[in-house]
Amino acid sequence: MTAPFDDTVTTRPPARAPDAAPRHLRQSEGPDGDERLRVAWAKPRRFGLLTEVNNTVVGVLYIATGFLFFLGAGVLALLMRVQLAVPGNTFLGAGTYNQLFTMHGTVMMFLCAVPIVEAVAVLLLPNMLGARDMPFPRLSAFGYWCYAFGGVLVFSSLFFGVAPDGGWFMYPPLSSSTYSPGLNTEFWILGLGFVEISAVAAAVELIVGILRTRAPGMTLGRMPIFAWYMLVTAGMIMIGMPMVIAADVLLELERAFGMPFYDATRGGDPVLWQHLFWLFGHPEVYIIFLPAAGMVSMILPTFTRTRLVGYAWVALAAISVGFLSFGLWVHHMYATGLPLLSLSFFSAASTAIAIPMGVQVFAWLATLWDGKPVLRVPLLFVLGFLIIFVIGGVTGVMVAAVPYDWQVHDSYFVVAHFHYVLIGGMVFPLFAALYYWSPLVTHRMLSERLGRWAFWLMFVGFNAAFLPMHFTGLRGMPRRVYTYAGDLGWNGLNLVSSVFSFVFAAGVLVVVYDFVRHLRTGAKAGHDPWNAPSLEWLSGLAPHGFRSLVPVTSRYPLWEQQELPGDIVAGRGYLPDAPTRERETLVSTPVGGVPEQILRLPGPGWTAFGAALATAVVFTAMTLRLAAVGVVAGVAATAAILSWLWSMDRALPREPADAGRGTVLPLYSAGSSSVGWWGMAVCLISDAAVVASFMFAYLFLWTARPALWPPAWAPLPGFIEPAAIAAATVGAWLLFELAERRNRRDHRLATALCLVASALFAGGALVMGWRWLDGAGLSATGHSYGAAVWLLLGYIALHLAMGIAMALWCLARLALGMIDSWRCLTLRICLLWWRFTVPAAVLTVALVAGFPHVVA
Amino acid sequence: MSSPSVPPPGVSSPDVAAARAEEPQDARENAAGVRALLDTAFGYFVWAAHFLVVYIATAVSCQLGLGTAGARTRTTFLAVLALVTVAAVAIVALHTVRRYRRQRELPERRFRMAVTIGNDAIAAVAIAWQLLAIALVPLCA
Repeated sequence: MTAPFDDTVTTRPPARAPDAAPRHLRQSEGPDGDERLRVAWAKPRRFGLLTEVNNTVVGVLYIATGFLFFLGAGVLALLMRVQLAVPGNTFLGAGTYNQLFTMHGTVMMFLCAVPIVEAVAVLLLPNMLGARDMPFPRLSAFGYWCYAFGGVLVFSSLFFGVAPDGGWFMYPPLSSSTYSPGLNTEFWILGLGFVEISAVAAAVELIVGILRTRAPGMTLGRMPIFAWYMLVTAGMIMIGMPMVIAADVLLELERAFGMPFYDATRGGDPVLWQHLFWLFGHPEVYIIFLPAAGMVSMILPTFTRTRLVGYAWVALAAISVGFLSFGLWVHHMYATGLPLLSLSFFSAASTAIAIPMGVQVFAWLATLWDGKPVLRVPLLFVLGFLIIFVIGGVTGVMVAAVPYDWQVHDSYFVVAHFHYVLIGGMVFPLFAALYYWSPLVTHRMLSERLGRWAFWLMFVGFNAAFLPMHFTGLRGMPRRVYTYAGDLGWNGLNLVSSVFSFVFAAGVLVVVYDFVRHLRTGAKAGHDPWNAPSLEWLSGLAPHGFRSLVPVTSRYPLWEQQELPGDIVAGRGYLPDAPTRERETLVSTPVGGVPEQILRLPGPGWTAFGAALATAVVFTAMTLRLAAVGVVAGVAATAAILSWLWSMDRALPREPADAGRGTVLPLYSAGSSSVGWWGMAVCLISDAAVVASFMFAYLFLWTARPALWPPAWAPLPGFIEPAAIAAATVGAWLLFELAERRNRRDHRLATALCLVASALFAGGALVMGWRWLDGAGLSATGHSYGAAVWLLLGYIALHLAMGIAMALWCLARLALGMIDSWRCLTLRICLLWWRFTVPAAVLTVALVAGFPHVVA
Repeated sequence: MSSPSVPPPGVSSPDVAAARAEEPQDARENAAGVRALLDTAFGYFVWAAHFLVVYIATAVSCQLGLGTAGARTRTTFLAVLALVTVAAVAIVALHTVRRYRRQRELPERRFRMAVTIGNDAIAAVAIAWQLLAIALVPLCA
């Protein structure tokens, strides 16, 4: 049952040579070590909420903010239900109603659901994995503050009557500058920009954290199942988010600069938006669901007092959902006129995903069957989830069938379906998680009695509000109408939905009351009040988290390793001390969980908060067209981010350090063992998704009008200039490679010269590209063909410019002695950038130069 | 460092040069770990490739006028799609058999083998499922 994922890396013992460690860096298991740990992990006395970067603070802030947005968006829903309670109601006007349903969807999806599930992971995963923090704490904090500033800005637009009003999916042409000329759509793009930054930041954290900072001995096969779910979710975010980022960029380029990607009168196509949006939008449903399923899979064993049935099957089902969810996007576009066979491919994929979903549901049912369920509040919410989510899943299979979907498309049936999926699949598990994990954070218990009241109010309220909507939809009521006539047979159903939506809200209010109450008067919770099996429940044994990091040999360590709490508290694990009074955690191998390195983590500081604040001001100033403020804030944001980057790859002792348990480990790695290298590699996956999205846009615009694209007046590109640009780009990369090789031998002058030459080659490619495009006379605003070419080459130019900046950055650090043959992580990370940029650039140039010749 | 295939995780001496010498091995091990992780999802990579091929081929061909082509051309097109689908299922099946043969004797790889085979099975069903669409739905309608 605890078979490791890969034996070859788990059987070898850590090196034991304690005498090799410098005496001043020795780890002490005694009280002096504990005291130094307390100092290292102490929260700042002043401005702690703004400057602390530890996951226990950032995670709580994240969840609290997400929950506030949940309450705000819930109020918007109640206002809409008041409006729809009776026919011909004048409680809200059409314009206000448009803003409310747009903001309800936008806030629930982008400001609540995605951030809150990532937040739960940021808060809990390090402790579940037996680590002291995530590998990039400042990135987590930066992501949180971006999200908080962006979210508040977007939500506040409601109070000024300029809230987005084009639906949460913001389809063009409704969202184009012609039909939505005001700031409404701009606020949507602004908010989404921030959420995308924070989501991608959290996803990088989670992937690298899960793969590289697990407890010693925690193989992939021993990971808590929540980690599997979050690994898949984070991967989906890294692939899916860039697609909506690409869609947003195209929309903003069209609105701000007139580049006609979606404008059908100039060769664009609004269906392109739908493809890009739903390429993200459908996986988004699973991005929300999978973490919730992970929470359920963690909670069930605790309350059934047995192991999760089919751990391997549940893990592979999560992987399966992660992949298959990217093949379903067109099932939101069945009514767009695509060929029937194409629709059928997506219909088949949509039904295929029912297999892994069914595997999970049966595994949960089998766990309930196998164990002795103890019906506490968290389990009650889990059971509610199972019932509601299965109903939502069944109607999901119904709308996956093309003919059925055509009948109910854009009707209240669909509204009912996705609320069953999202509230059943995410909100109920989240409340289960709230009741389950609150004691870990607040050290007090929520009320069992109030929890039961809350559950039944929510369960009855939800079903009585949303079940009738299926029938309202089947009777023909369309979505997004602000009122309706009284003779259509919808009156009674709507009234029932409206009344019971308030019952559901009452249940949520009971939870809010219970939570506020329990902070002062809740019963004290021990360190493991539920007798749970996972590691996070031992993190409360010391104020600074784990006293020491102990080896794990089981999937259920608290049930099967009885000696664990004693070993942790006695400091018999790794890193029982903080000899330099700096925060540390272990880096382990990605598969076997073998300790590999001691990772020094940054402590509290203003960097993340300052960078996020300045970035928020830049985005807001751009939205409000305040150029001067934008420039000043832009300088501040750039300075903050550069100072942050400058502080990375710092000088660390070159001698290996004592890691405890008689083991010594290095403090520094400049290769693929480094978490920084992994972070960059994961970011580049996202970047590749953006490039692929832009290429998809270019090719899609051709398929929209193959006979007229490229337009007859557009000159066909030559081959000499593109070849020269590609050659210069390859040259820049080869010189960067050479710089890295010279640096390995400490040839500083040769390294510097190679870096300068690399920057010059990249600059040459930029100049040639500009002259080529300028000389071709291809307008970016006249036709979608020109816009697509400018877009693709512009994005590659941005990469080349970044490559130049990186070369100069490395040059500066080299000159100041901050890069040498040992301390060369910065150089290698920048090299990764070039290794991605070159194939992306060559492929793009080949596409832009060659494809028109193929189709002309 | 005992042997090239089993590099130690910790640094066994303060000797900087010895520590640095481990770097390439660490890199190889990490790459092998990522490959092992991705190999469990091999079936879905085949599924994704197959899905893109049949979807793009259909979309582009219909745009280029396949809908108005003769019956023989259209039948040939559908037959090619069906063949591609069968080939994709065969590739996944082959992968499953190879992994099973390689890992069945290794109890410590039971979890990895279960995940790989399970993923392959779901992917194979998802690919084969597309045959229904190819067989039943009219082209470019």
